[in-house]
Parts: sequence; C-alpha cells; structure tokens
Amino acid sequence: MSLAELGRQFERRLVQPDYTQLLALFFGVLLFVIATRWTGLDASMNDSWFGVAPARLVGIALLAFGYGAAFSERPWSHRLAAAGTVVLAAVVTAPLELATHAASHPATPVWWGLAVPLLDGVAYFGLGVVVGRAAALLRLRSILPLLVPAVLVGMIWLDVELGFGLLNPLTTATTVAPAHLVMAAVVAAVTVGALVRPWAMATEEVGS
Amino acid sequence: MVRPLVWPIVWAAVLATAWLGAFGSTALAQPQAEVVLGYGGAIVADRWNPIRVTARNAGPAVFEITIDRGSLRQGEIPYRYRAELPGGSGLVSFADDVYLPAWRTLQWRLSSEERLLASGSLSSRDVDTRQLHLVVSQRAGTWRPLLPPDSRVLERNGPDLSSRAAAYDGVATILIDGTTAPPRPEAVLAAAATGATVALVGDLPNGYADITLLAADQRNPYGNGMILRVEPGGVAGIAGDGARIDPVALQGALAESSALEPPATLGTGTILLVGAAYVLAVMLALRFGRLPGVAAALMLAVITSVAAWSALRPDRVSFEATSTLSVGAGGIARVASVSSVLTLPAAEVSIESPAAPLDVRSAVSSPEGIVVPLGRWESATLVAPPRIATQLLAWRGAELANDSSGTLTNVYVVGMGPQGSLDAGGRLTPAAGEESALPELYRGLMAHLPPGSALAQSGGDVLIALPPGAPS
Repeated sequence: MSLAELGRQFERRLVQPDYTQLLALFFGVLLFVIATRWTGLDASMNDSWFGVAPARLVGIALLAFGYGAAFSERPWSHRLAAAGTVVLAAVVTAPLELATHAASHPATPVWWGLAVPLLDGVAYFGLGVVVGRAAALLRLRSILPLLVPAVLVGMIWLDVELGFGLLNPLTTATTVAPAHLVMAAVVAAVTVGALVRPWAMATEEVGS
Repeated sequence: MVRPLVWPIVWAAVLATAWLGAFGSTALAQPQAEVVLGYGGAIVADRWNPIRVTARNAGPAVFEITIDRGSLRQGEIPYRYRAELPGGSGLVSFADDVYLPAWRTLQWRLSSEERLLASGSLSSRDVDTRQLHLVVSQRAGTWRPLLPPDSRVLERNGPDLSSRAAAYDGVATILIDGTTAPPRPEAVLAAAATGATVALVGDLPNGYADITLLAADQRNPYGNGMILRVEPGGVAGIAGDGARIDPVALQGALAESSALEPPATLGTGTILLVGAAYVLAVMLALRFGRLPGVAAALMLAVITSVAAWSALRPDRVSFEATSTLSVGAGGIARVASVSSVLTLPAAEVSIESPAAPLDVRSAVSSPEGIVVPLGRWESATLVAPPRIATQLLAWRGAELANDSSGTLTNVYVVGMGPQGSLDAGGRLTPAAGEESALPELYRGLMAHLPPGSALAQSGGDVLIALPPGAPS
C-alpha cells in the first residue's frame, strides 16, 4: 500500500461521523471547563489549566483506548488511520491547553502538557488494541463500549491504590511524573512499531 | 656551669613555652557565647526587638531563630531569622533588630562549624505583646510603683540604650532620672521619634546637658513620640501618653491600600468566543478540507497557540510595590516602609533589605533581606523595620512647609480639608475648604490621626506632619 493510499484511508476516517462527533464533543467539554474555571473558584486567580489539562488527557485517553479497542480486529491500514486521528485530536486541542497554561501560571512546565497527551494518545491506543483483541478472544466484543471506560477506571483505581502515579491521567496531567513519561514512551514506541510494521512488510513485498 | 641533669629540664621548659606560645592560646581558649533577645530577655511579640549576640573565640558562627507561627489546624508555619557572624579569635559582637511575631514555639541557637555554642527556646506561654517601660535609673524601685501595675518595667543603664530606631518599636516609655551614666542623645532621639515617650525626671546632672537640650519645653514632640520634662511627682501620668498615634494601625492602613491586585486578563466571554471560533475553523477544515484541511488545521493550531501564549502570558510575572509612611514632628520623622509582592507562578520572592511578613506565612529573613516562598497568584505584605529620617513636611507655626526636593500633592489637613499641592521648598497657610474626593489611602489613615495633622503624597510615599501641640 502506497503512502497516497494510506492518506486516502486517513481522509476517509476523518470524515466518519463518529470521529467528527466525538471531536466536537471533546472540544465542547474543554470549552465548558474553560468557561467554568477561567476566573477561578474564588475569582481571585485563573485556575482554568487545572481543569483543562486533566480533562484533555482523560479525553485523549478515552478516545485512544476506544479507537484502539474498536479497530483491533480491522485491517492494519484502518488501525493506522485511526491512530492518526487520535494524534490529530491531541494536536488540535493543544492550543486550548496552551492558552489556559499561559493564563494560569502553573508550576508544571508547558512541555509536559504538549508531550504527554501525544505519547499517551499513542500508548493508550496500543493498550486499546490489546484490550480489543482480548475481548475478541473472550467473545466479549459486544460489551466494548462498557469495557473501555471500565478498564480505564480500573487502571486509575489501581494507580491510586498502589500510589504509583503511573496510569492516572487525572494526576499525571498536572504533575511532572518521569515514571509515567518513560512508561508512556515505551508503550507508544511498541505501539508505533506494531502499527507501522505491517505497512513496512507490505511495502517490502511490493518492492520484491 | 650547669650540671648535665639540669639540661633536659631546661629544654623541656623551653619547648613547653614555645608550644604554649604557638598553640596554647587556641588550645586553652574555650569558646564562650551570650545571646540576649529583646531587652534582657523581655520580648515584645509582634514588634521589632533588639538582639545581641556576643561570642568569644568561637570562630565563624551562625545565629538562628526559628519561630513556628502555625496552629494545630494549620500545622507548622516556620519563620526563620538567620545571621552569619564573622569569625576570628577574641570578642565578636553582633546586634540587630528582628521582628518577632507571636509564636507557638520560638527556638534559637548559635553554632559554629564544630559545636553548638548556645541555644534556648520559648513556648507560647511566654508570648507577651505588652510594650515595655524602660527605667534608666539606679532607683528603679522608686518609680516602679508609679507606673501602671500590669506594665512591664525594666531597669536599664543609660549607655546600653541603642541608637537604632527599630529597637524601640516595643518600647512605650523611657524614664530617665539622671542616676546612671547618661544615654547617648541619638539613642534618646531615636526612641522618641520611633514612638516612645521619653520622660526626663527632675533636674538632670551636667552630664545630661546634651539630652536636656532636646527638651527645651515641657512637651517636645519628635517623630511619632515625644520627650517630656516632668517633676518626680508627675511620673505617674507619663505612661498614659505613649505614642501619639498607633504606628501599627497606620502601617495596617498603608498595607491595605498598597496591596497589589493581579493583572487583568481576558474575560471569560472573550476567551470563549475566540475558542469557539478556533474550534469551528478546525472542525470545518477537518470535515471538508481532506488532507489539505488537515494541514490547515495543524497550521491554525500552531498559530493559535503562539497567539494565545503571547496574548495571555504577561511580560512580567512578579510585581513589587513599596510605599513609605513618614510621620514627623520636631524636624524628625518615623519612616515605615511596606512592600507588597505578588507572583503569578509559584516562586521564592526575595527582597534585599530587612523586612518581615505582616501576615502569618513562612519566610527566611536575615540582616541582608528576606526570602518568602509564595504560591501561584499569591501576594504578601512585608514591613521594614522603622527608621528615622529628616521631616520633609512640617508645621512652621500656622504654615505647612515642604522641605523636600519635589512637589507634594494631595495636601490635606485633618479638620480643614484638601489644600492642593505644595511646591518644593514652598509654604502654605491651610484654609478650611470644601471636601473633595480623597485618595483612597487617606481614608484608612485619617481614622488614626489627630485633628490638625497634615498629609501629603510624594509619588507612592505618604508624609504626615503631626500638629505642633501634642493632643492629650
């Protein structure tokens, strides 16, 4: 499959109603959080980033996890296109986080809010694929819409119980956690490898 | 001729003398230290207090006071004072004035690199905010019954009185009867200007000539206090005189008016409007733009990020404003400075001059300055130790005189109303005028000033000239 064909696959994914609606909902949630937190809870400071950053990371995690699980049994090109739309969602929502970061002056550096959602998006997509395949193996794909948030909530619960600070997007969004960054980078690298490998193999076959 | 048996003894004596000469003074000299907080250990809480540290043969040492200002509910809120003492053999003396707020616990220690030289602690039961009455007399017992029964009376020697104004922040009265060696005139003047009532009792000996020159009349206002001449029978009345106006109340009013506000940011409506426009543009580009639309959305994201960052991130993220309040009479003024600091990101704010936080918060102060950790969007008010300076706005008979090098604005006389501006070196005779809009700061200050007090502004500084006649 050529790059142009992959691009067309990506275009088709972009205009699917599910993606458009979920992205619109995601933007709507972020704007709602900004509206409620812009002047702060006691109106003396701007707290908006502390609402937007976790909401954005949770949103990206849900989107990535859900698409990963949903596309786990689809052809690799579909999976790659779906992963691309998750990354795109992370990029186009970044200005809202940057604006609130600029106004809120948190201690967390701005690069954290740019890097972590991108890495987490790819990493959670990979985890979603694994969960989707496991659900298919157990013939539980029909409950995927429930399974996706349940697994994510379970990961947050496990993280809080064990005090790891590794998996909980609510806390890792606002606090620099090197362990989370390393874990997300490793899982994201494995995911990218798994996503790109079939394309590379297909390209090699065509070449030979 | 010396016999051979004597030689070893002679050599041993010579060697011992040489060793003692070379190392003996160090080896035999034991470090000694003395620390005095307040006046002989009497501390006035919530005021600047003198401290004196004396060390002998101690080498470089560090003196630290750690005050816990917290509570059971708030937890520990440490306020630290730290001073480094120069080293060297022999006597090293260090004196300073430290703001000692009411404490839950107060601990102090003097330590060198090798050892702890002195330490001590005070509990919350030792907190006492009552001001001190210093009796410079060898017959303190004579005067003590004439002072209010619940007052804190301390006996002092004349030459021990400090010349630093802040040392008298917690002193209400000083009674001098001429039975000790005389204090330095500058110490008496500093005490009076800071706010103490200094009473010279009876006819003082010739050694007090410089001091009696300061008290030409019965009542001689200086700065925020005064020097009185009283007969022995009139001592009972002086304790009530105290400071003419409450400097703490004035300081509070100044701090309230000079508090910094965070810079204005975009309103919620504006940010939502811009955000909604961005979202609409991105959604349209992605839905109908195909791959070029994706590129456009990405470009739009980058441009919006840069624009939002530069519009919402102010050039300055920390702010500082200092106001001074000068209360003058008799050609001398008590000057109090209040600094407000505000930081948008969490930061450690430092000011390179002695100061103390007005509210309950952690801080590390030293003779050189203060460091205050502040959270994001947090502000603090810091007060400097009181000092004395030349009076720049003064009453000359019925006239107000501007002795500063700049124009004074918003001249106002309590009871007479606004008087306009007063040029450098100029004079004006106040006249009763119609009330007009007052500067916000004046409203807080006027409640504490007696009628006839004059107020004026020089930039952010406020000058007050107390009326010539001391109100009773």
